[in-house]
Amino acid sequence: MTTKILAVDDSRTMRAMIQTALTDAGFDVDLAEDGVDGLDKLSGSDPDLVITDINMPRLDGFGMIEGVRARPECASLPILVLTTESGEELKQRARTAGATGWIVKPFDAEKLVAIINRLVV
Amino acid sequence: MSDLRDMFFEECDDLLEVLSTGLDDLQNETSDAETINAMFRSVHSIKGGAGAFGLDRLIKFAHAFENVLDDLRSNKLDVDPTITALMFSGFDHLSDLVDAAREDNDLPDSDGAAVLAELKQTTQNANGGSGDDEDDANEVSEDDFVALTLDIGLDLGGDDEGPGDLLGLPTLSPAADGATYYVVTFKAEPVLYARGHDPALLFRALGEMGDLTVAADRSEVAPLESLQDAPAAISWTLTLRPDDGIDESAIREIFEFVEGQCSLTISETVAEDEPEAPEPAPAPVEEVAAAPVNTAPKPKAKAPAALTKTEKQEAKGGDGGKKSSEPRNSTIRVDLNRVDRLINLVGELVISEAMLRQSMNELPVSANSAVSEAIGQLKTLSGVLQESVMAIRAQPVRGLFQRMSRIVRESSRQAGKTSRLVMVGEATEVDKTVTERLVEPLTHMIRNSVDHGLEKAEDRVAAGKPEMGTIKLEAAHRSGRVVISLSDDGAGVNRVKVRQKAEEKGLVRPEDDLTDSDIDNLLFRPGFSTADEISQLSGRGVGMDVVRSEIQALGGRINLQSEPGKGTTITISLPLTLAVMEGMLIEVAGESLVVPTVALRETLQPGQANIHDFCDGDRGLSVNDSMLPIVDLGEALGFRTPLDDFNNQSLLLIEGESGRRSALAVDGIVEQREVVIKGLEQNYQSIPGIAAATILGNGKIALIVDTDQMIPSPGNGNPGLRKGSELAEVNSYV
Repeated sequence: MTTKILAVDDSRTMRAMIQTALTDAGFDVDLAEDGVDGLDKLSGSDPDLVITDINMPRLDGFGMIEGVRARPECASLPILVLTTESGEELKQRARTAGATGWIVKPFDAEKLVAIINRLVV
Repeated sequence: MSDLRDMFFEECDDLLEVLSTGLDDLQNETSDAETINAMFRSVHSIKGGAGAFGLDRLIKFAHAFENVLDDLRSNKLDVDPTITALMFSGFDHLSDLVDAAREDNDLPDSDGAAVLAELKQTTQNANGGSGDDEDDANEVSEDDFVALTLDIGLDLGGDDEGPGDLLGLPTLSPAADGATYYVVTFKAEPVLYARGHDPALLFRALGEMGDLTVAADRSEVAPLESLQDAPAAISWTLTLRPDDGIDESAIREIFEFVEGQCSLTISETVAEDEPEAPEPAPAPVEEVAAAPVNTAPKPKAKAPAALTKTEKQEAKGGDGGKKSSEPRNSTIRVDLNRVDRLINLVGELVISEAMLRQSMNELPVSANSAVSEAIGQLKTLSGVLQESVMAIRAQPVRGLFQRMSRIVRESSRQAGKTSRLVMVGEATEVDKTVTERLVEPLTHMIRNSVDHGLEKAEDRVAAGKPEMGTIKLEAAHRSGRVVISLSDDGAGVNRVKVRQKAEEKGLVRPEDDLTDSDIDNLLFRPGFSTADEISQLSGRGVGMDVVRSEIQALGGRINLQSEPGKGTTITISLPLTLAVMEGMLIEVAGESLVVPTVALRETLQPGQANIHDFCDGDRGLSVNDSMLPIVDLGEALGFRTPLDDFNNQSLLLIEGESGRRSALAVDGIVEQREVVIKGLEQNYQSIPGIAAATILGNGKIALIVDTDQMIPSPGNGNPGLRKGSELAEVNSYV
């Protein structure tokens, strides 16, 4: 079965870039525009991995991660943070919230795919 | 990539708009906490995208800008006129940088230098003089940005080996060669699994740093009956003979993101003898993986074990936690031509089904027979099938709306006005062809709104309106149709002037009694243009008549409502699909015709008393105190000579776009039904009075009446339809 990824980012350029990179790599990609949208789409999408931005309207990445972890069926779902932020403090917050990994934008498509392959295979 | 680049710049436009709206709110003191947040995110997103495209100068500037906004949102800075002014300058320069990057131009170095310096200084002051300006500006320089920071520490190089290769350990018995070894002990806390980590993957990453042996100590694993968190109860000892250049910090990096979620020791040893030989990895695979399937739900496939992909999926499947059997909401890309072919075929199927049903009715078959039931089912199925197929072509109007935001900005700039676009209901789904064909009409309409609708800034202020005009695009589904409306908060239609011009052009007569709405809708009449409104932007009246015919070609209606001083709203109502419509099958002079249900208001069998003769041969129907013109359809389409009376006729009350009505006299009403629309223009060009055709259940062709052309309007009369010579000829084809 194809690996399904839910990518959450408020920038549509970024969403398109993620989608292109991941679709080309053979993943199924669902997109969401912010944390609220992401959590809304979580059940329907049933992803194998979540990628989320940090700075987003309505519900930011930290809230998104906490929301995912609050669902029993997503307790061990890998969540990658993909952001331009690189501060240690923010990383720690993400970790505490339950993030699996942290990738700093801009991302290299091949590397992103490599990382995902290692988290979901 | 160039598509993405285009998309990025389009998004920049939108982000700049958010920023500009926020700035206005700040200036007007209508801002709240979210205003600054939204502004921050806009600049932040521009920076992020700029990073992806290596636009250094944009990155740097956006970064400095973002820092000031960050200070504002964390209350290190207060909004005051100086800051607002600085941010307006920042906005301008940011826009310039975006434009320059879009055109691949380079701005002179001096441009924006002062603003940049001031932004940096502001951040520095806000942060007690230290600031992060230089450091952070460097941080976002291209060099740093290219590097992929990866805190999960997975080694990115190397071939992708299957998990079995890596974890079917031991892979090597370390030789006693005096080489350096790292011995890593690792025991996961349950929380590690809860954060989506999988030790197997960590080990695999470690395995890519050299030769690795893995041993598991399962002594703490509880017996099957009381098993919980089995993987967390396993301690692992990993022995790595590192490749060149791998040191302890590289190893620590792998575990960086699981820090605090496991007990971890890393020690370096130099092997003189065989290194402390881990017991041969005793196939933890089957045992760990198999056990949880029937017991604890959580460990499942996350057990650090060398499952092959299939095994792992089975483990997932057998586990109650993950609903892998549920259908997934996945997407595929399909050639549009294939979809269209499918839609056509389904259309034909619906027709065949109707033909079959009709033939059935003529047979002596009981309605309860198996055949009738089966055919009933076929009808239901083909209906659902048709709906499903149509849904494939549906897409949100968001893309269309977003294109329009740019039109608003550009036309505002050209017209020297400030305006913003508000979008509502962007998620509304419409047939793809419809959205594509709406681009031009909407562009026209928006240019018109900005150019003619919105007043000049000083006039707005004088009228007590905000200087910035608002254009609103709204989409919604309403009773089986899509309604798209465009409104502006401008001055509204100048009815005196419009009427005057229309009279000058001979479109209406001075004695015509026109309602406000009639006057407003004169704007859609061919040849209408108020000459002193010519401008570079919208040209001569911008052919709102063209807009209307485009909309009508889509099976849509367009209507304009205007309130003096308040603004104008143009409403477009479109069918959900172009392929099917609801129609009333009627008979006229032995011909079958279809009248679109959307235009139909009422059907009547009039008494003679309600019909009035006028001197020029026209006849009218009095309904509810108003007089409607009666149009004899058979005569209008050239099927026959005028009738002497309407005694045996049925009348269909129809209403057109303008809200005007007329009564269509027809010989008989057959039934209401869905018809598949077959265009005629390809074969017969445009035929007055006829919109399209359809194929009936009996295989015969019925023409679909263009109701708008059947409604006489002021100055328009009955638009030349009575002669019908053209039609008579066309009719012979059918």
